[in-house]
Amino acid sequence: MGTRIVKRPKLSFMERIYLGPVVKGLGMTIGHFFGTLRDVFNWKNKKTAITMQYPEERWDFKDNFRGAPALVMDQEQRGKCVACQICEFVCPPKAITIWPTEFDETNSVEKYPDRFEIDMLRCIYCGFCEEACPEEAIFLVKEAELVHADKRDFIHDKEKLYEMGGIRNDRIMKWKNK
Amino acid sequence: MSDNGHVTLTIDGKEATVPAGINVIEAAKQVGIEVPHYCYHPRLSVVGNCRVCLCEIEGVGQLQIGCNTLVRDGMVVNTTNERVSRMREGVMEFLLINHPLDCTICDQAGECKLQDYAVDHGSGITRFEFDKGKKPKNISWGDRVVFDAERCILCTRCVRFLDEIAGTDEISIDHRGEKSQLVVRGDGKLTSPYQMNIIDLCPVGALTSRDFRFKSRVWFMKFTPTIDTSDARGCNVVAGTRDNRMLRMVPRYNPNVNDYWMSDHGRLHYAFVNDEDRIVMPTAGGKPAPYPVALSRAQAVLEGARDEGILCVASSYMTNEELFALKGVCDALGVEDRYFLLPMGEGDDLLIHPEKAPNARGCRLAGFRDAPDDWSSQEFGALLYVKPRELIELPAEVIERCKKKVVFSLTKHASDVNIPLTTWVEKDGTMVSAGDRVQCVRQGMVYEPTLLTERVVLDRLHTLLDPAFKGASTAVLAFQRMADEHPALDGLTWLSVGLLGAKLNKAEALA
Repeated sequence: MGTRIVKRPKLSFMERIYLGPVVKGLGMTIGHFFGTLRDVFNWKNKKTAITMQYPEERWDFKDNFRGAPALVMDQEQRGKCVACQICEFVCPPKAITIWPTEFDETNSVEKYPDRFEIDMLRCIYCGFCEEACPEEAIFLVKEAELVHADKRDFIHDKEKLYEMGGIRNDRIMKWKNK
Repeated sequence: MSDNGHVTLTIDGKEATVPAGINVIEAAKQVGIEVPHYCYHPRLSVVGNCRVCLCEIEGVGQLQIGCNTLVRDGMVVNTTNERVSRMREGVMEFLLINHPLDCTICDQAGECKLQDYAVDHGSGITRFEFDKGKKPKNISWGDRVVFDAERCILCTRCVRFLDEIAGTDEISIDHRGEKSQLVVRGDGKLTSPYQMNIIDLCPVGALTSRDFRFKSRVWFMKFTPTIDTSDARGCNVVAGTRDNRMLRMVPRYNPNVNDYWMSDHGRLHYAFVNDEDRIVMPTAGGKPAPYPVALSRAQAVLEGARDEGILCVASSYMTNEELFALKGVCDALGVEDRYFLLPMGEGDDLLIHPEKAPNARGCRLAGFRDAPDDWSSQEFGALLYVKPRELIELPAEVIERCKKKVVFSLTKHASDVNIPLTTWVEKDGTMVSAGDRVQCVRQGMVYEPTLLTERVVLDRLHTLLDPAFKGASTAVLAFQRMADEHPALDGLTWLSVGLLGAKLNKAEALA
């Protein structure tokens, strides 16, 4: 390995005594201190506020935010899930469990989930269920704050999932025309 | 034609020598090439209406269907070239024109030939812009089969099966062209005792089982090759289980026993496996007791009754290994009266056997005698009883004549020592079916992790009675030990019995 000699820059007198840059940096710090102090006393001003007043104020998530999975209904209040169990199959942590059952012979859909459970202690919010669902029945909604005192409450049952999912309009209404 | 009734042909560049008289699909199968087919089935007549097995035969202008083209010497067949795959793509597009997008609610999904071939040979898109044809859905054909006319591709396998194999000829095609639809004659309900075979035959989801419907997706299930234990025929089956519960049985090909078929009775004979009332822990004196406690109680009961005589009644649902373990216990106790119970019923010429238990021959092999019609009024000191399934029971007065009772049963049974039984899908073992065939049963599930199989329990009891005895650790070793001992099983090994079973090598009749 060869040796290369680096030429040191020649410092001026002011640079050699350091004092100038120290004073300059201190000035910047004090400036920020007073600026922040002003914003803190002025927290009601939305433009300058730094801290969000959680839980009164909440973050507005983007539409593609991946929160808790939930089941949706169409505009006619029909639960869209037909219990095909593809989400159960694709779910990497095996959080989803479905017990399918049958409609009577007059209903063209034939099949629906008798019980549908998502174990939110296992869910990793990957969104594979939403991606795999052929019926557009399961979505990851913006619900992200899951706090319960009892672990059993983390197992979301069918009623809870439909309540979280709400209604999403269906353009095709495939089963209505069957 | 070349020698020995064989012909040599070339399929996709591979030279194959196959028996004369078979068709191109079978010949291709022999060299490991799969020609897709819906309507063709090796045991049914050829109709050639699905058109998906079209192959190119060199020297013949148009493409020919593989199912109805017999092999010739020097024939050159192409099953995958550009022309054939374009044709297949077209055929798949036609088949899918009126097929509903039902896979999400269709029970066949996962084992559906239409799905498989659409992926393998289809174009992936449809050019059909009009409304799909509408036909009735979810029609009940009796209490076993559900029919969906929209999913049907009119391959007529079910029609031919009921006509040619089951002999009841109940289904036919009604209407014409696009409106063609399967109908059942008479009141629209099937009557054949073999009707559920059409569910397996159906390559699509048009025919589904009322029993299995929506219970589980096939891709979640575990499949275990075993045999059917509803009668002495011992049809070869694949048992489907999920989460340690039995969900269905479908026939498994065995040319020596059941071919591709099985009876509905056998197929539906599994409800007792999932019974919630089954006992999972032994009881001694009416109180739950762990196995060691229950077994030492049983030992005390049986040894105490040695002078007054012991009656041993085996069940014809036990495996050979278990019967030989029971025989060992009987020998250790010096039991003279060894019987087994055998339920009888109706039989027919095809597959249903009059003996409604799988292993009466194994019982005879292990030296148990057929239970007499009129039991003598002799009193016994103890009863060692392995209770068969609900079809037959030891008469109550015979049980009463025994002072103490050691009973193996699936559900609770009044006795001094009650030990839980396991069903045939919970253990490995062999049984001797009709025609003196030794066939294996294999473990596909565990009902409850604490349960021990009867063979282990009986071997442990034997060790308690005779400390010099040491039981075999697995069913395979138990079978080997049995085969070494008994001349009828001489030369048989677990592997030679294998998936298809093997004949007993002996002259004495067990039937």
